Amino acid sequence: MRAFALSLAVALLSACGPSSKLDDTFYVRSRGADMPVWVRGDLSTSNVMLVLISGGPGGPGIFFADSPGFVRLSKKYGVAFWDQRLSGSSTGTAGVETLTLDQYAEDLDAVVQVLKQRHGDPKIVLLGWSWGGMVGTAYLSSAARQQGIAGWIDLDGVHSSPSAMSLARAWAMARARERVAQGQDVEKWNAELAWYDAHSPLSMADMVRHGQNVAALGGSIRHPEKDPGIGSAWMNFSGPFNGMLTMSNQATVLAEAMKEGSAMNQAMLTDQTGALPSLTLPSLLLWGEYDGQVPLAHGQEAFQKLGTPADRKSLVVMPDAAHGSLLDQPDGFAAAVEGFADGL
Amino acid sequence: MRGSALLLAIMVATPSWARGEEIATANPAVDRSRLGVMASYFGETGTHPGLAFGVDYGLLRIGEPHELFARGQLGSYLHPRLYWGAFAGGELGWRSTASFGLRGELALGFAYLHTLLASPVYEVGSDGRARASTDFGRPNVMPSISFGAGWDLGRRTGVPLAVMLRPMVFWQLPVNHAALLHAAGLLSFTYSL
Repeated sequence: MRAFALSLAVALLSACGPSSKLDDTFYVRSRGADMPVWVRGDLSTSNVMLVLISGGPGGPGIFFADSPGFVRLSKKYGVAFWDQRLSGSSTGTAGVETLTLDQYAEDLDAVVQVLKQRHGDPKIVLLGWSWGGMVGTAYLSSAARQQGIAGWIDLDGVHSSPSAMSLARAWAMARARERVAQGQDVEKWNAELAWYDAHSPLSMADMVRHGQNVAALGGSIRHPEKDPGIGSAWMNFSGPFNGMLTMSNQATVLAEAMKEGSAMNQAMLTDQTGALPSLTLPSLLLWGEYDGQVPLAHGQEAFQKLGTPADRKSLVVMPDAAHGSLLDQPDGFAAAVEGFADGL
Repeated sequence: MRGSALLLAIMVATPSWARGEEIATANPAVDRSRLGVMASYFGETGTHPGLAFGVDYGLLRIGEPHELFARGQLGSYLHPRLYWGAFAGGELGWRSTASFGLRGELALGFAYLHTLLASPVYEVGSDGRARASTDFGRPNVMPSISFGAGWDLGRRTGVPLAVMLRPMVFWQLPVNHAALLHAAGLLSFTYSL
């Protein structure tokens, strides 16, 4: 009877959330920020730990732990989901003046050091998505830090916001013209084209309207039905995730990003193209064919300028995916990451 | 909010004769002590478990069904892996009870909330090594609004017990220099002494 009750309890608990061999939560404290990290997955065969540097800026990392792509990757690798300072469920006393690229890189270094000490020095693979590309590039531009990293996955990541914004503006205008030519919402898209004509180049303050246009034109997500939205009920009610805090933090960081002259604004507008040749580690660049937020041309530039030898870097274009094949094509995303990580 | 706390303190500290209040005596089931003890399940988002204990004091009854009340409460809840919160404070509210026992209430509260991280904390030293760090927690204030619906069993059975389901919203501030909204659900049992 006791055995039955125990089995039932285990079965019920398993049904409540994705099962995982590694299940470790800790905080990293760095310059006033207490940042949660949730490690899931399995290191036993691969000894590879993927570290998600999520986008935004201000977006959560832990939120994506139960997205299908990462659930699949968690069966083979360790995956560390990190909530950056003033993002996700991070708390502490850190002020908005600490939202600098150098500080993000220092925070990431602390996360990497704790992961190495706590999990037996696994091979660390950084996975920077969107804004995470900026943080990853800043981190890896230090030769000493790069030595401790086994691989770099650039998932629709930014290395230069001015360049990415210029490409995104051109992408949105081209798609808007297509809509006009097809007779779809002609008045709306003509008005938006006029707005773009009056906003060249785009400033950070323009990013809300521009972002809405890109989303409406299918450049954010191709398959909205796959968007996790506010996350699963399990994540909201039982996981190490605070939905209200995540939304509040994201609003704070985005407001800072749009505030001219703020630390976050300066971080966003940094051009790190010049740092790319110093990145010589094995790299996978994974881009959505229809990415309108950070268009494919940005990935092609990164691929050309990376210092990694040609036989150790690859650019994979995901068909039928926009900004983040993680959401649009979770299996294709996971397969590409597996192909890269297994070769390290 | 400071005004509510001050009003609460004055009303708790003022003896009933000084307030000149009338205690209903028509129904013996109602004419019991104004003092009760309360135990609650406190679930932040409903599912982050906690408990709260308190005292409930009827400050002023107007006729049989209506009562102004004050509560003092101590409680704690856990958001697994993220943080543990402990709070102490008071509520001032209004409740009405139908003759057959159905009860509704509305309360405003104010508390001190202390939160501690519920997972190990690490810092990296100047030598590049990670070390465990101690968390002394964060001080917060916790204003709240709660609604309640339930049953005063004393009206029918004579058992001086009320059972209430109380949805609550509360704010935790400051959190990252802002006020963070929370929702909670309480299941409260109040025993009149």
